[in-house]
Amino acid sequence: MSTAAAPSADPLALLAVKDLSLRAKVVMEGVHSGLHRSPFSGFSSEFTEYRQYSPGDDLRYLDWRAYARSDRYYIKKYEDETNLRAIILLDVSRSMRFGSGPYPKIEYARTLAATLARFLHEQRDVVGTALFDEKVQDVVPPRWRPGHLNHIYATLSREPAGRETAIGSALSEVARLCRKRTLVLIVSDFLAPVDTWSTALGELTAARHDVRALQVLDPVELNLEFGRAAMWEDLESGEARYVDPTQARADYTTQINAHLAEVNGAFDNYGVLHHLTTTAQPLTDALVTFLQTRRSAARGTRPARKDSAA
Amino acid sequence: MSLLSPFFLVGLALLAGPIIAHLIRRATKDRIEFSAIRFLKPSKPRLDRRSRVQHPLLLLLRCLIVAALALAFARPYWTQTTPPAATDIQPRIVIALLDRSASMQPAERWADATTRVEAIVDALEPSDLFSLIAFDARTEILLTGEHWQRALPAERPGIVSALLSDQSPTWSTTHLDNAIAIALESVRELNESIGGSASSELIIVSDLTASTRVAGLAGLDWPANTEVKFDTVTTAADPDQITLQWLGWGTDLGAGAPARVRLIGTAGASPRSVSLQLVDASNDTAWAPPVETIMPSSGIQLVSIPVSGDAPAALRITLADSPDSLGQSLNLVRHLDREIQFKIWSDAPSSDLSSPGFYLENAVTGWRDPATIADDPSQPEAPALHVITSPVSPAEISTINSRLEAGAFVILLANSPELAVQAATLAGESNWRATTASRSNPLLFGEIDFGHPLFASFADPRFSDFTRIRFASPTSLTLPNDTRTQVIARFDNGEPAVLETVVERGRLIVWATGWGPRETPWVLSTKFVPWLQAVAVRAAGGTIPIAVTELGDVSRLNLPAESTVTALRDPDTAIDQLTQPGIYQVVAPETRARLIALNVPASETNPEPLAWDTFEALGVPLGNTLAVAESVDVPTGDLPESAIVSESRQRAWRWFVLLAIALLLLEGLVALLINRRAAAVPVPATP
Repeated sequence: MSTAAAPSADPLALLAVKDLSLRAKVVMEGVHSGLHRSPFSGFSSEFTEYRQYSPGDDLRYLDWRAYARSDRYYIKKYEDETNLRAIILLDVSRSMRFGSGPYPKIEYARTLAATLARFLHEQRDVVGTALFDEKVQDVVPPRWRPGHLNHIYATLSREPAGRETAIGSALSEVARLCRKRTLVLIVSDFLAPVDTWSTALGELTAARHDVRALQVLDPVELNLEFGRAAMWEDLESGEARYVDPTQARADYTTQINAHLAEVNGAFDNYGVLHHLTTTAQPLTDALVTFLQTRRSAARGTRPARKDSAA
Repeated sequence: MSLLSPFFLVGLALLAGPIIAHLIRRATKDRIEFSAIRFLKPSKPRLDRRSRVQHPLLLLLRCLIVAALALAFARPYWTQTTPPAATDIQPRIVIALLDRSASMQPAERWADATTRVEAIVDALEPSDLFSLIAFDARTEILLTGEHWQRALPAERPGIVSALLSDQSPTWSTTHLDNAIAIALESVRELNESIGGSASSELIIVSDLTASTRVAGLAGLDWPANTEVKFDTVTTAADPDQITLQWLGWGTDLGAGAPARVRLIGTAGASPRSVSLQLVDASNDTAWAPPVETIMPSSGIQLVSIPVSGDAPAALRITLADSPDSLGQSLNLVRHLDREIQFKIWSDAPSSDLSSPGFYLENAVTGWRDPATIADDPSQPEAPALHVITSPVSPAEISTINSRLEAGAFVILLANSPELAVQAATLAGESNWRATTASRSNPLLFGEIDFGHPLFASFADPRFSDFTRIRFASPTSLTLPNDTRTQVIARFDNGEPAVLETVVERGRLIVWATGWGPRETPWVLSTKFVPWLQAVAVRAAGGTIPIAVTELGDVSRLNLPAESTVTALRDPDTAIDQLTQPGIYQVVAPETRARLIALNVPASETNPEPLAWDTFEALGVPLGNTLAVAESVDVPTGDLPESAIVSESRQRAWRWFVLLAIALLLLEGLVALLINRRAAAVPVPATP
């Protein structure tokens, strides 16, 4: 699959569009051309087929009755129905306002969130959204009704006033808000220390929510090919220090890779499917890859960890 | 490579500027916002590493720019080690221009100049064409190229030596531009004679003082292959040398007009005392005690030397310690007060207020030039002014007539027909008709010849209003057609009012009216005294001419064509041309003898040398090899002329300036690339 030739392939061109709904629509067209089936299976889905169990499959879908009858392990496959509840958590902290190019990460992430909302809404799933920084700021509960999508767009377009990131407390708040099983899609840069949110993530997954994470980073956050010798100031904490990128690059690369490995470890530990994308990557590609990763995993073939190497 | 102004290399110290700038790193004030600063380790500020040069290529370029500019200001040149191209293949044209102006008067300087000309001749090849030109204010070709060619090579130096021995420096100014223009004409003629364009050299043997006239060089058309070389004759500059410059007579404050003199010395010399001596030029004896003054370090001092009223007419001011040096004495001629004999022929006492005599006596009182004295019949040739207000006897008529013929000016106020007849008698005419008519209205001047000397001083419209001067009872005069008498002014009825007749050397001026206050307010008007004084000045010989000037400016003296000039000390020998400084007596027909003083042109006594770049500015093709004089005082110090000329020809500084500009452009390009490279690493635009 390739969407490179699509007009929406260039994030710069797409993010120049002010209207978030239009952005989501354009990206959505690309996603439709790349996907033919919904990657999301609802929790109350219509049975479609049996598939032989393979190691790594979720045991929740193992048909014990079929095993009793045939002494074979079968996985029940369901067609998604409209009763999927989903909530999209968008990190709007100050760190998301960083961008080495013309647009900050938050614009990229906001478009991804809007496209996911539109995608789910078109499937007649109930979808909501929540913005968080130090705490959950704006919450649109999962619903399906006319105009709900515009409500979500408006919420996503809201400029936040927060500063620091507190993913842990946001996840705890979501766990409190979502009593039913919910597909929780977290869009964040996950630059906060893992130990501040890993516990809350565990609690969320323990509550049987289907948690999936989309990590959005600027390319220079991976390689520090950026800036000059100057006083560097942290967007969230305001801490300033003199940094010469030519000197600090090697150590930074080591540090960020270690952090990413730690993030991956946390997600793997709690069975959270996650995908890392950079703002240089076309939005359609990022979404399709994210969605296909999920589908491959659903088939039991774990995707290559090319995301973490990006 | 040599340097004309090596002290500009001090500018290389400016190299420290870019070096320091590249060693010092300014503590950055830039702030960059970043999202994950906790993964960044603080870097050590580079200020700690002063030994490391930032952007060495940029530093190198900037240092080269500074060095190129410093070298350009130092005016580099390359010395000519190889001899000039062989010119013996083709005949050269060499023209020596010998300065014989007043500044060459010192004997050693003139001897040096002639020796240099002889040396030029000795260095010539047999095939060369040579011409010798001597110049001061005028130019004289002493030896033409044709004569040179015709002479045998062995005889040529002797011919030139003979010509030089006949020459001597004059007292005139230096007009080098005229001499070069004539020399160029000679070059063209010689080129035509040989049918080609030979290389030509104009070698100027001169002291090249600042007063040398070179302005005419600007418009000259220089033939191809022509070079001008200078063989400058200079003597060691005497820092104590002082020259005198005449400024003029000062204001007469009663004790005699002081002589104003400017002393010109060497700027920067230590102040010293100078003594000026006033000398009687007729016998070379000191007239007054020396005047002491201080010559300041600025090199210029103005001195006002008091000259008492009884001082002789011919004077000389000399520097007490060196009176015979060039420019160190000034010849002067004083203005002596002129006297004029004055007489009023009247039958009324001068105390009578109704008589013109009263007003005439008062009008002439206090005149300095001419000063009126009583008429002395024993000196009939002396200037005299007579005024006749009443009829005189026939004997007196005869006396007055004789004074008229001797040159006196006679004013006759014909307020009666009898006086008009006497006027006609004095004028040598007979048939003048005069009547006295009774008039109800006074007459005015109707027509005045303001071009005539009698009324010329009122020609300006500001002074030409005579309408307030009325004449109550003028005499009606009718002149014959063949009269020699000139009517200067007429009344408004057309009758003559003022007339003038030339009687031998004298003048008869007739007014057809009396001057009594009852007849006319003329004697009470502001025009009366100036008019009367103008007549007296004419009677005394006219306005005082200039008596002191410089050689070369003799035309200002307005000497009559038929005048005879003799030296003050040798009155028996007539002088044809005024070519030497001194004091002379000029005698012309029908005028009194007068003294004139001639001095050396002040410009020739100025020891300051000509600025060397003047020739370059005038487009003179300067040669690169010179016979160098002992020392030339040029602005660059004690450098030989060859260095200056080489530098001015090569103009290597221009290439260094071009190099600096090119380096500047390259530096800008490199700086731009460095900045772009730095900018290639993105910075957040809108975090």
